[in-house]
Amino acid sequence: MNSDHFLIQAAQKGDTMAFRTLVIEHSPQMYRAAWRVVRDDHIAEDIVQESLLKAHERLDTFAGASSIATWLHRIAVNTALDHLRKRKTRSEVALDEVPETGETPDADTSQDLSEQTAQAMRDLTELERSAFTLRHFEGYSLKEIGEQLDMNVNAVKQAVFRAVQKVRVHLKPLVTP
Amino acid sequence: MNPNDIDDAMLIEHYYEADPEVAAALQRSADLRARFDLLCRDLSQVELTAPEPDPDFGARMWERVRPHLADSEPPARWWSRLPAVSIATAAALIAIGFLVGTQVGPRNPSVEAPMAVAVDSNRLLQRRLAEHLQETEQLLTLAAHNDDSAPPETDWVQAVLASNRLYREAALRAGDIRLARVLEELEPILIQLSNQPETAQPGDPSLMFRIRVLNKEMNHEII
Repeated sequence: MNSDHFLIQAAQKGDTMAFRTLVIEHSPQMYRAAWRVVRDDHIAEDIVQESLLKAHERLDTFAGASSIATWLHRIAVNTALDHLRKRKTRSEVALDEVPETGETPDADTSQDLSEQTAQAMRDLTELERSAFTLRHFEGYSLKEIGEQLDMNVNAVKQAVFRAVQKVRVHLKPLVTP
Repeated sequence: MNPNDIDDAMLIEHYYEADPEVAAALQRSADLRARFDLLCRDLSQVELTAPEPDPDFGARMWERVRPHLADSEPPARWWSRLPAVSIATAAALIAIGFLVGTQVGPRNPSVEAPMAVAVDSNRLLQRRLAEHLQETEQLLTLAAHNDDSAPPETDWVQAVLASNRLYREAALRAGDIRLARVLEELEPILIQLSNQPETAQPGDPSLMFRIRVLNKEMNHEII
């Protein structure tokens, strides 16, 4: 039985310091997960805060079926997706439109794969990016992605397929031997 | 499955969620294997490194979260944190609240003093009930305008539903039929909203009106 188990039990009983320890230990990985979805430092921080409050509210529902890290990670990703949905509603930008990022690609200097991936991700529609992020980086199943994005599985497959095609085109100069 | 019938979409799907038929076709076709190997090579290169948060990030997040923790308790839990107050007692207190608010009339300090403790508890309960009605109204308003906004979050709806059931039971036990009936009418709407937020209907417009009236009465009594 690891230390998280005792911390969770204590936090579930209302021990604030135990919850504090969980926050300090797990919030960095929640931040990274949220960032991959929203790709904005400040928004990712806000999402971590909101996710931690949600986690605190639902602590008594955590039964230990997965690790606390996985549970918190999922809350962060789902909260980030909620943010994207709300942003879509507010801005009336359809999920299948490519958003204006105001950033210009710099193919000559950004030879790093991560940079190129980031650039490729910017050229995806919100829908393609969300589906691809959840599938490729977060390991969600197609069915789970469909549930999260309110889409049927075939539409998710199509979105992932289009995303992969676009990303491959972007990375081709770097990965071709 | 014929290897020639396998397109890129199927290979991509197989990469993420293994498909036995595609796997068998890969065994039979060197060309298909070459295409799949290329895909694997490309996708294995796809990485997106999130910025590393600073070393104080966790502590900073704790400072941001800590002030809100008292507010983040789920609506149903405030009830369970009052072990001395059973549902029946709470119901009785709600009933007393209605009586105090609607029948006692102008306050007389000499009458109020012996009831101070009960009235304080009652006010707390009334405030919670008023908050519940207000929250329900917000939720139904959001659901009614579902065409141009995101549907309410399922967790939120479920929390409101759980509270609604507790209040309805309490109202029934207290014999407050009017309140119980409104809460009873709300329950199927909340269930539908919880299960199918996209298609749920906010219900009879008069229900929203009655919620508002009850809420106003509650707020008036609290003041």
